[in-house]
Parts: sequence; C-alpha cells; structure tokens
Amino acid sequence: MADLSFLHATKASAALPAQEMEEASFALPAVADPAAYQSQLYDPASATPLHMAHGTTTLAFVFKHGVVVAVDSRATQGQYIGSQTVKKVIEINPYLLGTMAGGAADCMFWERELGRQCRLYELRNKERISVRAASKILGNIVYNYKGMGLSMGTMVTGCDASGFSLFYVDSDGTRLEGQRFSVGSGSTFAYGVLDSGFRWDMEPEEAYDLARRAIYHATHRDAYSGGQVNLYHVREEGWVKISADNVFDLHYGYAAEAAAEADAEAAA
Amino acid sequence: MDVVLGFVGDGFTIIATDAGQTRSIMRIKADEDKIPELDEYKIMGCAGDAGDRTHFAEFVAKNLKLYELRNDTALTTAEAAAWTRKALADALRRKPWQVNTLIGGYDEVDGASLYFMDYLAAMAKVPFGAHGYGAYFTYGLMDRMWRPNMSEDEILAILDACIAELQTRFMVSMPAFFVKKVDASGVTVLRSINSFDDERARVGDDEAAAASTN
Repeated sequence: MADLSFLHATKASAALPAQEMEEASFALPAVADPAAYQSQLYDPASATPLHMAHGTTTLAFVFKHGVVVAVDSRATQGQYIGSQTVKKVIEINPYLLGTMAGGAADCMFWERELGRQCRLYELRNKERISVRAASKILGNIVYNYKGMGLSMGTMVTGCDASGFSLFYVDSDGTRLEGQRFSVGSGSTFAYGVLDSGFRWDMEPEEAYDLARRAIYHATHRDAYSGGQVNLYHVREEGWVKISADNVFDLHYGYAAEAAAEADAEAAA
Repeated sequence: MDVVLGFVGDGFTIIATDAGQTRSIMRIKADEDKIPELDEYKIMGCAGDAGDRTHFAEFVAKNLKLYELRNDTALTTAEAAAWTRKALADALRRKPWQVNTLIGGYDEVDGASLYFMDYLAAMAKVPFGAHGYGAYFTYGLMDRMWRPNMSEDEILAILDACIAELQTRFMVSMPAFFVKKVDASGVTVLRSINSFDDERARVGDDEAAAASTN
C-alpha cells in the first residue's frame, strides 16, 4: 500500500514557524451563516446598503511578442468621480501583473497578499512561481470567500518557464486561462475594438495602439471609465510600463489623425 | 446556459459540452473544456456556476485518486457516481455546489456507463442524457435516434444532429463543442478547440502553435 503518512503531518513538522505559514484572512461575522449575513448587507433593498465601486475598463491579451495590458484610471463612487488617477494595474512583482476591476480595496488587498505568497514561494523553492500557480492561489482565496461580498474581476498575467500566460480570476471563484480578456463596465466596448483589430503576429507598436484605442473607445462610451490609459507590456525579461495617456489627448489626437486622413483622401 | 450531452454506445460512452464560458451577457471564453477527466476511465461533463464547476471537479478527482492510493484499487463508475452524489447531497444544505453533471466511465464490471446527476443530488443511470436548456432542444432527437449498441459513428451522428438543432433553435450561439470518449482503452478527446493555436495558424505561425501544445 502507498505510504500516506504525509497526510497526517503535524504542524510542528512544518519547515517554517506556523505564524509565517499563515495566509491572510478576515475574521468572519459571528453568525450562523456568514455568507448569507454578508450578502444581505449588499442588498440594495436593505436599510443600510453598502455600495461598492464598480465602473472600470481593463483588458489584456497574449500575442506573439508577449502580453499587453491596458486599463483606464477612473474610480467612481456612484455618480461621483472619486479619482481620475487610479493605478489599476497592480505590479505584483517584476514579472507578474494583476489588473483591478470591481472593489478597489478587495483587489488591492488580495493582490498584495498574492505578491507576498509568490515571494514566499520563491524563497522556499529557489525558483519563480508560474503564472498558473499564482492565479490559482488568488482563485482559491476568493473561492473561499464566495458569496460573502468580495467584488473583484481581475486578470493575472506574466511570463514564466512555459512562456506568456493570462488568467481571468473573479470573486465568483471563476478562473480561466485565455488568449484575451476585457473586464469591467466598459469591457463590451473595448471587446468590439479588440476583437476586430487583433492579430497574433502584430508588432509591439501595433499592439500598444490597439490596446490604447480599445480602452479609449470604452472610456468614450462608458461613463464609469475615463482618466488616462495606462499601458504595460510583459516581455520575457519582465514587464515594462509603456505609456500613460490622458484620454482627452488621445481623443483629439485620433480626431486630428482622422481629419488628416480625410484631407489626404479628398486630395487624392 | 451551458449544454452537456452524453450517450452510451457499444463499449464506450461519449460526452459533449459547448466550448463557451459566459458571464452575464458576454462570452468571455470560446475554448473552455468543461469535460474534466476524473481518472483514466472516467469523464465528467459539467454545467453550472463556473467557480463551483472547476472546484467541484477537482474535489471529486482528487478524492477518487486518494481512494485509489489508500486502497490500491480504483472505484468503478457506479461507485464513483455514488460517492459524487453523496458529496453533493452532503453539501446541499450547507453550501451547495451549483453544478449539473453527466459522469461517463468504463470499468470491467459494468462496461461503459453514464450517470445523470443534478446539483440537488438526484442521480440516475441513463443510456443518454442532457442538462440545462440544451435538454429541451435535444431530448426529442435523442429519444428518436438512440438505439442500444450503436457504433461510434452512429452516436456521433446523433450528437451532430443535436448540435445542429441547438445551432438552429437555441437563442444562445454555440459555435464549438468539446467531445470526449471513454472506453476500454481510456479517454480519447474526439473534438477540441484552442484559440491560441487557431490565431497562430491563421498567421502561419505554426511553429509557435506546435511548441505551445508541448
């Protein structure tokens, strides 16, 4: 019979002190069913509903030369624009990026916790964690809190021994590997531009332009997205921040381009 | 809106699912494999909440593996289905897994078999089955076309008729399906799609496509 003694390993035999091994966690409300109790807090019909920040447009895609990540930078609190300069790309470590949609606090907190666990993995195993494993850590954390009001729609992307990869992880516990994703209230608009313009063998400059345009068009139609377009490129040697462009500048830039093209056509 | 279809043929069981993963009104993935391989001789077509679906499939697969390690023998399809049913039933009044499944398998005792199971932990051994809205569109056809001991080609003909019907009458678009077969020689993937490879092939980057499958 197979040796299964490892299944009964005691805590004392762990390589690191128990405290250090602990994962971050929240204290749950002391009620019979924490998930049911917490979900009632977010019910708009309840006496004192909690409001979550939601509007966003984020996108990421894998192509021949790596992964491009682009996001807007607007934070809304209901009808009110809370900030136009939010960093929605979370730099987990030099070769892993996470994006932020849904609850800002949830995304920031858990992706930082993910960064901590990835660093611990690296110290223990003397090698970098795979994007697959990193996204699984995040997916498992949020799955354990399913139904308790976490709100996150995030993409985890980066480069590891198996190449470039991209994972979508959300607070429903969904975790999907994919070729391109867009998340947030503006995602439908971004998808239109992204899907029609995507080619596997784009040059990096073309890919940046496509990603920027997709986010720009989303900010144009979605009132909850705006500010600037932050753009990142994940390469084999790690990620690089490519640009941060105000959407107004992009708007008038694209308008000038279109006008110039129309003039050239009329002249020809 | 997931569709799962399953059929028992002569010495084999075939399960098919649509390849889409939807969230709200959007298809966020077009090449999702919703037929996890539980072990060498068992497959489970799943429909339902995406988070629960993947976690439940892993939970079942790892527990079947644990049983095999502890006892040096794997469960038969009937036994695995009964274990899975009990897991769903135990969870039902606590934190239910919202997944509907078709479990197909092959073993020496019963040969090829198929078990229908919904998230309420109702289970039935069936010759063919379907879950979700897909069932409304396909059960008529299955009742009409299925006979005992059909060949693989004959079963695939029923499947194709079902897929054609879904693509004609069902409001939700389902351009692609995963199809897997389990028989005495184990699990075979009959149809699958991979957007990565398709994108690469479209631009002639076949070398990268070949490398990615390794």
